[in-house]
Amino acid sequence: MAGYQNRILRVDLTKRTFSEESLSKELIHSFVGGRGFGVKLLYAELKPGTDPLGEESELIFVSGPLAGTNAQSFGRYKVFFKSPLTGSYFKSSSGGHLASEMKFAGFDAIIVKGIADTPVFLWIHDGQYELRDATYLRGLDCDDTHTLIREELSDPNIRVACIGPAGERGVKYAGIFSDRRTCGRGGGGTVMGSKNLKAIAIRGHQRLELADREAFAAAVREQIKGYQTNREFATFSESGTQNSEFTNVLGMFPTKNFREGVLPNWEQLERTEYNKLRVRKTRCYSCMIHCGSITKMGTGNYAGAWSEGPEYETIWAFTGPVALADIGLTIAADKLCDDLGLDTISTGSAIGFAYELYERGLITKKDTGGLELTHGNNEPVMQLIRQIAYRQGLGDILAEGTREAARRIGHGADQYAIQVKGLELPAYDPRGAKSHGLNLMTSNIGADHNTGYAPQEIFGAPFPREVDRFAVEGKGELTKWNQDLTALFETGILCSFVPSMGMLSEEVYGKLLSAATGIADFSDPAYLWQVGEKIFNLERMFNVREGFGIKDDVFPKRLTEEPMPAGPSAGQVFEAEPLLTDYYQARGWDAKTGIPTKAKLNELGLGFTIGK
Amino acid sequence: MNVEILFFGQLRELAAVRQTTFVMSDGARLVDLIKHLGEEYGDAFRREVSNIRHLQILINGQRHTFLGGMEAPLKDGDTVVLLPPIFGG
Repeated sequence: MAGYQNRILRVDLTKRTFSEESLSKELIHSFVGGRGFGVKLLYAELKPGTDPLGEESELIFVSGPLAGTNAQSFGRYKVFFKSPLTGSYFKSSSGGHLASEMKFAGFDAIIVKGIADTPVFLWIHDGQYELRDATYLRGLDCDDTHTLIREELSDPNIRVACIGPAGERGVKYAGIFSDRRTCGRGGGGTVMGSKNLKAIAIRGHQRLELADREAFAAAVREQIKGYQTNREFATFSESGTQNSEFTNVLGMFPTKNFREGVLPNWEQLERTEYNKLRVRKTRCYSCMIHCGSITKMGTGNYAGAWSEGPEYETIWAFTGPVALADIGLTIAADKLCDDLGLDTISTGSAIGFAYELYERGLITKKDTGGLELTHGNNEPVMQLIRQIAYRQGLGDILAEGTREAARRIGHGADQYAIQVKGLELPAYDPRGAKSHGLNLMTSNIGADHNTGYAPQEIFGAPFPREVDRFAVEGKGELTKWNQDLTALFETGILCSFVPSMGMLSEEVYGKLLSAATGIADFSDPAYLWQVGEKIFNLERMFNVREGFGIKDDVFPKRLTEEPMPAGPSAGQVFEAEPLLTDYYQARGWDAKTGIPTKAKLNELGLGFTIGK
Repeated sequence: MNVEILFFGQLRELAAVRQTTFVMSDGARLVDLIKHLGEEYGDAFRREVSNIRHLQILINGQRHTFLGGMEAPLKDGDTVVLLPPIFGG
């Protein structure tokens, strides 16, 4: 089948064996690719109750049918696993160049299971593969791991996805890093570390087949025209996500562990300030947006510090939780997390959680090793990041994630763990945007903004319609729309910023897919919308099989009972009950259980999940 | 009455100021403020305000379209934000 390489590589690390299998026509037609393949494979592969860090758990790396082509912004790969942080289905995603290289090396997906008895890395090159000794790489940071693998294999163009010390030590929110791009959230790096798999290295030169090259070229031209005529393109190309001003003027920039919505002196974090520190632009494979930046501090406490980014979430993670707008720390902390292999959102949130516990006397200097965790003092942050990555001191308990850390600390600490299903909330206070919040509450991986971002509420995007961000009415349907649209495009796997800006329609996406694969159904937006809905429902059913339900679609009471104290979202709470009821109704799910009805599952071709 | 205005993006460049306070007559509406801004900062500013697609005009954090659009009433102490499209994630 054109568009795909039609091969899945299976690796058993325990037995140190390999096998290959073809993509089935049924899988391709029903799930298209990317996130569709990932959830279908993970559902079929993992038995319910599988220990995420045990021998039977799996990591599934997937590229999309448009990766490696000259279609724009499809250079992302995704990793699928059962999360050690949430116990749920998990998807994690990154840009860069790994997805295209996987295709050039001859594979659409790589399924890794088992546990190696000594550290290894997986080397895949043009349809061949082997496990190589990684004992000497143990303990190395992510940048050094990239360098030494490329040196060992004598090829600077090899693409690498690896873990750092945090993944090796079982920090529950360790990520997988590829050229400073991160598969963050949920602990994909933790699962990789538990398998003694330090890295995957990939190089390939194989040709990609396209069903109709002429039609594909025409569709790419149409896509590029859509980018060039989009007025948001230039701004996003220049600054990427480095825009802290938008959530501050909306009064929903989480400050002091979600107690307030405006950061004092937030103007010091505006994009114009980061523009002054940019030394180079960066890009993903075949993407003309070039939204990435290398940023470097020239003066001050962090002079010489640099990072790729920081992205908006990271800017928040090391300012809002400690209530201090220090641009230098955002850059230094970003690089440190990238080096040590940590997800920045959960790391910053865990630090904010610790600050609140310290302020309330639930932990003391004895617990912090003498660190003074008071708001406005960000000096402990770099030390706390190292402590988390190496599981030292207070960092050992924070490395478990805020939900588990609160359980161990007790004394009511759980009310200060700002998480859903165990995944810490990102940089948006749900009280200021109800559909955006409803997505965080109902996402199948916990509080992930990119599962169903609501650009209508955050940026005023008028598609499918303009909405009042504070309103409750109609937000169930809107949340479903955003979640299904995201799943639809992530079959590609398209960068989620593109649909947020209205730069690519389902129609043009359908033309790209059908021209690449030759499958006529893929040109029909209605068909693709149903695939998006099917993906989201199958993810839900994975969780239902693990015991998840309405009890897990819940926010901490702070967000539902404490009105925002001041600022542009003052007085707002998150109206959980009516919003959730509206959402379940829009989804066709049982409003009492939060589980898809049999009728809905049969309608989507997911009858095989009933009664499992 | 006093109304505080925050400018972002190209509007800040054209206004050459990040933030300012205007004295408006009692009963003034948003349309009056925008007209006043056009007079203060010139034709280029006026053109940009009407040309920016998806320009967010926030009055105390709420979009003007939900407060009566350009007829939205202003009161003493209001903060008006003019925010061209930007994206985060």
